[in-house]
Amino acid sequence: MIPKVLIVDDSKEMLFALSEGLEKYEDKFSVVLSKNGLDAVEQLKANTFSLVVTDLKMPKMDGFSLLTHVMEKYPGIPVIVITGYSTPQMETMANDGGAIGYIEKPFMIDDLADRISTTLSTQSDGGSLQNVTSSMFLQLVEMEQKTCTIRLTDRLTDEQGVLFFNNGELLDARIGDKNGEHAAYVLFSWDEVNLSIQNSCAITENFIKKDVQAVFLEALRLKDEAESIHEDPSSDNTEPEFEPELEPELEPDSEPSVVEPVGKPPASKPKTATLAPASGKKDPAAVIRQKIQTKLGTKSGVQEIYTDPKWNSLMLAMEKVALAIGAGDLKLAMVNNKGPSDFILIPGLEPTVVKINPKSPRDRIIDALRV
Amino acid sequence: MKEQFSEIFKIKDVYGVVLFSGEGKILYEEFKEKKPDNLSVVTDLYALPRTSPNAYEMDVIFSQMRLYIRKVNIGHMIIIMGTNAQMAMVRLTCDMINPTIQSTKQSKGLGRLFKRK
Repeated sequence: MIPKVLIVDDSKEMLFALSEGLEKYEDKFSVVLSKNGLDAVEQLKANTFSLVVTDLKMPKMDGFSLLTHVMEKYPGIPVIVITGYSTPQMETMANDGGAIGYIEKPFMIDDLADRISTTLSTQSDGGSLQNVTSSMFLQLVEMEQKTCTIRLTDRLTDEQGVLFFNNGELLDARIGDKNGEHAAYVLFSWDEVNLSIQNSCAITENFIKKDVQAVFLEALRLKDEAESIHEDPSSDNTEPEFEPELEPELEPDSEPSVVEPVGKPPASKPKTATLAPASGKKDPAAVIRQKIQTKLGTKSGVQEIYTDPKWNSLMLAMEKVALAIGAGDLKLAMVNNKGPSDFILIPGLEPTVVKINPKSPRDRIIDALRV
Repeated sequence: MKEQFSEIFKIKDVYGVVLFSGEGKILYEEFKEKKPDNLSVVTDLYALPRTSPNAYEMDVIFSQMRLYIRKVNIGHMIIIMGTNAQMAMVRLTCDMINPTIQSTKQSKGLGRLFKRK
């Protein structure tokens, strides 16, 4: 995925020189040129950029106004300011306005290129992946529950978009001038994407009120609907393009139900761990539940916690492997049989089993328990 | 096979991959650096998929190491990691590697001589 950099300057000569000088970096980033702030605003609507480099003094709309516009509308896009009329006040204004870099003219093009490359590299500090299907991508997001910015490129159209997550919660999506749920539906409808992950999120406000799973399912529904309309010759709809609805029918609560768990397992289980044992000793299930609740709250997706000797042979095999390869003590294990539940096993006289919904944030539960 | 597993080694804290056949035979093994002495007998690792043959995936966390066992069509893949590896990335990369591992099985007939259109 080659990131796009928007370069804004009213000097044709400067644009030409930058375009020529940065050509040798085309394997790292591509450059789109813009002659003033207003033109840049239009370019930002039509494309998804990874970085903006702007001059300050320009006709129609100057660099400060453009900087303000980008910070307001596209907070995930960093801005580097270049100027030929530098004063300490201007530099302070640019920095206060949110610019991540301030370069005085004249400058060496290679220095600018270094600055661009360094800035862009932070946008993939969490890694990048090629040829990822949308369901795999969702799996990544759900499992990791992280705070990050994910930049996507649709492999079919080369369109680019951005998703902003805070602790796994989808705060916003952007593609061109669209944002919020509308943009998320478009991004989640892409079949195969390249993506890069930045381990930070510039957005704090939540523009998407739905659970990521609900947004994803709605995107698939809208896509199916659009495709079926397109395929149905009897349909009056003449628009072949996928246009998601602004008011989707799916409610956020339509995600798979999560059983409010722990302490109320069905009677069929081998040995039920209770919440308040008569002995007064702290029950392991209660401790486990407390750990999970502290980190994830009550909607963790834990279905039951119980002890079950039928896992003994597997736990024994794990202990043996640990001994053979010098892996240290067995902390816990997760088993996914592709059934209606996954199992987290905690070693003990009899293994304690935490039965979880496969859609639950498994890695976060594991993190809570391995401490 | 080395090329297929290259992506997994880009993930921080991953330091080894072992691919077992369904019968527990080692089909491939690779380590990022020199194989640690304590892993000289990687066949020991097969005890895990052998004990739980129907598990689609297992994530086993020890105090000094983490193992991710993933069922693939030709057997089981075991990723050996430090305790801080990014599991979501490991899982995702395994999802992507899995079909390519299957495709390395030599096909019979003309398919192995000619590329499909």
